Amino acid sequence: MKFVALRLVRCLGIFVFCLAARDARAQSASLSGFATDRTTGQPLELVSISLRGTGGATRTTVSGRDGAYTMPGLTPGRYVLQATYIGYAAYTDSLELAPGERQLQDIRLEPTETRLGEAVVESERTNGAARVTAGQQVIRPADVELIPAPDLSADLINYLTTVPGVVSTGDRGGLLYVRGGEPSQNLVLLDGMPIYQPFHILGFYSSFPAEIMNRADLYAGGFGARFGGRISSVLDVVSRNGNEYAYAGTATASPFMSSATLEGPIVRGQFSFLASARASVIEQAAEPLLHENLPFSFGDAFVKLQGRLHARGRIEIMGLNTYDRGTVGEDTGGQPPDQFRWRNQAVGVRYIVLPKSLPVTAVARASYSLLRSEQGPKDQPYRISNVRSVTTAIEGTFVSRRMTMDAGWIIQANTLHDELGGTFQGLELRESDFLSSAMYVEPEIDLGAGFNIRPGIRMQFYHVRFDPYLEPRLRVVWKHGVHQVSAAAGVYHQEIVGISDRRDAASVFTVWAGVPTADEAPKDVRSGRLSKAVHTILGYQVSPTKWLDLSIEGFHKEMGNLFVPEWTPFPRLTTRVQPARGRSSGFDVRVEFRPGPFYGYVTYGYAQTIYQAEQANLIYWYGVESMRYRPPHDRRHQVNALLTTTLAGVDLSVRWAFGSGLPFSRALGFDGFVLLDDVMDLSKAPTSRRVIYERPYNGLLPTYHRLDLSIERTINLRPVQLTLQGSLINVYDRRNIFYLDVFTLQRVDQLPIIPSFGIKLAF
Amino acid sequence: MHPLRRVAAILTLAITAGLLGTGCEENVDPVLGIDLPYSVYALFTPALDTQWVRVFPIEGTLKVRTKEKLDATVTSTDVTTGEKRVWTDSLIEGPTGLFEHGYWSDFRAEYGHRYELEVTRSDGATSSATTAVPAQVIASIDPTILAPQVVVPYRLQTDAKHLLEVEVTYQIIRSTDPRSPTGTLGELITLPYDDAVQPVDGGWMVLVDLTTDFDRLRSELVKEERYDPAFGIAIVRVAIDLIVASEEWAPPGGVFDPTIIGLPNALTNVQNGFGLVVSGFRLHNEFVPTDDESKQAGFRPLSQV
Repeated sequence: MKFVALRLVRCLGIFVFCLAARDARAQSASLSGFATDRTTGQPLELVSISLRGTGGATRTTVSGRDGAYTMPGLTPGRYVLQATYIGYAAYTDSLELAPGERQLQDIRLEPTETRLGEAVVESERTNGAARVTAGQQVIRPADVELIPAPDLSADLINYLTTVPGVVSTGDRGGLLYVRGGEPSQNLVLLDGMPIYQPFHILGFYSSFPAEIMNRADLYAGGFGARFGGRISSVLDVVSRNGNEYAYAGTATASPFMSSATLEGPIVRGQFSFLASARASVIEQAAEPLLHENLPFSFGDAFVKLQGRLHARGRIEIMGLNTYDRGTVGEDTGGQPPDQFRWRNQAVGVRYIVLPKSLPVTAVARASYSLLRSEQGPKDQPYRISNVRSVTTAIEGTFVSRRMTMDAGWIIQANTLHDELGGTFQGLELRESDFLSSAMYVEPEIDLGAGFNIRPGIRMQFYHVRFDPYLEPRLRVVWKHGVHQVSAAAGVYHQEIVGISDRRDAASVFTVWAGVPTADEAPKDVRSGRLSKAVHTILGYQVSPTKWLDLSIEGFHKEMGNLFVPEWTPFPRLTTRVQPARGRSSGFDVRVEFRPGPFYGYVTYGYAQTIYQAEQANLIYWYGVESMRYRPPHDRRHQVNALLTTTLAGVDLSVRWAFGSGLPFSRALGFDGFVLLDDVMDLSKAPTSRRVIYERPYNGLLPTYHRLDLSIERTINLRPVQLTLQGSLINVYDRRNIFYLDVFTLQRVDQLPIIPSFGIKLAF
Repeated sequence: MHPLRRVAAILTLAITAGLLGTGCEENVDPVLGIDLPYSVYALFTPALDTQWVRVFPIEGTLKVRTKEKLDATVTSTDVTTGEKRVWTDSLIEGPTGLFEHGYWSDFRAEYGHRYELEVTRSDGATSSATTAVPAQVIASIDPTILAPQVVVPYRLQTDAKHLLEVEVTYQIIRSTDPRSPTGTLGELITLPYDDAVQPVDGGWMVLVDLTTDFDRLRSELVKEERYDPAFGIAIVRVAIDLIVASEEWAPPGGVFDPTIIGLPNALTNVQNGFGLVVSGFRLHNEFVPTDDESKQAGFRPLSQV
């Protein structure tokens, strides 16, 4: 293993050296730069850039995520440079490259009046409900804004809950399960900063308002070597830059949330800022609408400064602060409900540079993330779980004529701090500091005839040992006309796990801990049996007409060394864990259509997730040593439908969601228990209430379905734009169950019909 | 209609009907119910002059119990003598202010007698169990075995099927100042001894291995940095404690692990219910090893302290 890792590192070094040496030897020239929007300074990704030489030979490339492009190995001479991008006027320029010259040429594209949605060239579309490539879906702010929500502060989570394979706990709690994985197995990044609990306590909101988004990539599985440390999915959110040339801002108000954004130049054309702040008002304003107490308070603030440090380098500095407070259950037996509080804080810096000496787009980044979560009374929380992580990374995209290669080196230090009172005492916590590093190499090779292959390898070093976990990854795409076949596979490990008591759907408290071990003495992480998953995905996509996209994708996840809460008959929360393994498989079918003034999609997801747990007392309970069961997030069927249109200047949007019932554990009855372990006076013996369970998760909750609609009208009142919105969530007032406490038989439903209205001012 | 279209139409109708059918259901019943009246916990022991039974109705909710009367009549029969008793209900305040029911009867269980306990609801549903109190035990110490280990055989003549919680407690002196901070002579260290119990004709034998125990005690003291090799360890006395238990008082693996015996089916002898009705009593005996036995086992003779 050690030799394989060394060899890979050596190969990478040789590759980079060869690229540099070849260019130097041939005295060839190179061209690089940034592609941006001329009016805002926003980096533009996927701009098609071509160079046509005087002999007619043409080289083409596309800009990357930061708008950067590199074209190495060019023959010195005169060229015509052309850049095209959807919704922008074509850019043309001529240039002369001298032998050995490393010329920098920025491309600033002028937007045209044509709206993006109307001028999409099908082959260049990357986002859309049916545009899924081997588990990866690109989400743009425009996609998010289509989903009906109780206010005008469009939020990424509302889109995520329409994606087949993504199961949410409902409209409160803020937990997402992706294709059989658990919430703590999802890696959520904002500009490379890990965010540990990114979804707000009310299910319509997350830390990611559309106002700050540039794009988000959801990898429901099969993610590439760039990502690691989690075994289920990746949500990689990239924020947009503030406008470099003009000030702009928005302010929204609704009974649920108030928000404001402001952006503008710090140094015109060079540095800009973007600031966003949101605060819930639901506690005060929504109660009269719903006639229901909604004890939630949450909000978030995001700031981004970015600019050009020099001709070849850009810098971005980001900061995020979120807070949540609320109860998700109800009073139980006169006891006050548990209050949950959590706060995410993250700061990060990214430096993007196009080095003169190498055909590389390099990114150096560092970030600090903190999650503080508490359960219990405000001044005396009885459970605390904090995660601090410091991440540094150097990553690069190396470009040659026939392939590009992503490579990087990441170091992450995590500090976990847990104070667990009550019934957590049985949880075995390992050391609280975790240092890990990872190296990855992932070339992207164009094999011709529409084949594109991305084999990757990630070497994950836990505790900085030199025996890495090798995680091979593979992504393959074959495009032929309107058809696309894609596949992905990979091996994933996770060292830090989140443990919650899933018997209780209302418990949003997650303990972050190292994988439990039977013996604390060995420091070798290999004895800790890291959680592991193997993913395989196969998908097919077709666009038979300009207004129709269809896709179907199957997946399988094999998960090992999972840690699930053990079953106990005592009516209390527990995070004592038992080992388990699991598998999840299923498929998604997506149909996206854009006929005339309509846009919409229908998605169906089928998933089957089975866990097999081993627990010492199972043999006494059910007569078996291990038990197969459906975990409580095993939603078998999901349907999501969205229809939007614009009529007489009014935007209409309707969404219907359906989910089959989730498993839960039924009780046969309740009694009491006396621990008879000595000769004693039984009148003084301690007793406990007890649940006589049926087999775990043998019951099914009722199905979930909900219809939402919203109407929006934007009025141009120069210099400001006024948008008015009316919305109805849960139009037919379905009693969707959120939480069923089998201990108290208390049922907590999701929100009833919610009429809401919103107002937005933009300048 | 084209066959494919017909299939598509039928499928669409079926899916729509399925969605509507399942989608209309809003209610959920989380408790299936079980036709058993009570969980009963009782211990019959000659050690106490009042016997108690804890009775929990098996019900459909985990409601907070108030001071209401429990619909249960508790009776016992001494099968050996035929004597019947009706037990008296009393309220016991449990954890977090819950009220629970304890039934009592003021008698001392007799050695060697079998008791039948019945808890009956007004509709006649009954949970019941029987238990036989082990006969009185004759304890004796056989001659000490000196080689290869120093072993004191502790013999119990009894019909008991189980011995539980077998422990050997050493009162030791480990320094020249033999008084403990509390003023008692030496200090007490208890060693679990369940593994040293073996059945013999007419009862059980506990083999108290002084040689092995010297190593165990020394390790314990060394670990706590309280061992003085120059002084060693001297035995003041050795106490043996155990529970003489009825047949049904047999936790899985001999261990009272609440996560296991807390399971409704893991340890129960109650018919038509859950819980545990057992009988037994504690036994305590002491002996003092001779100086020779102590010395051969590795201890410092008491006379040299």
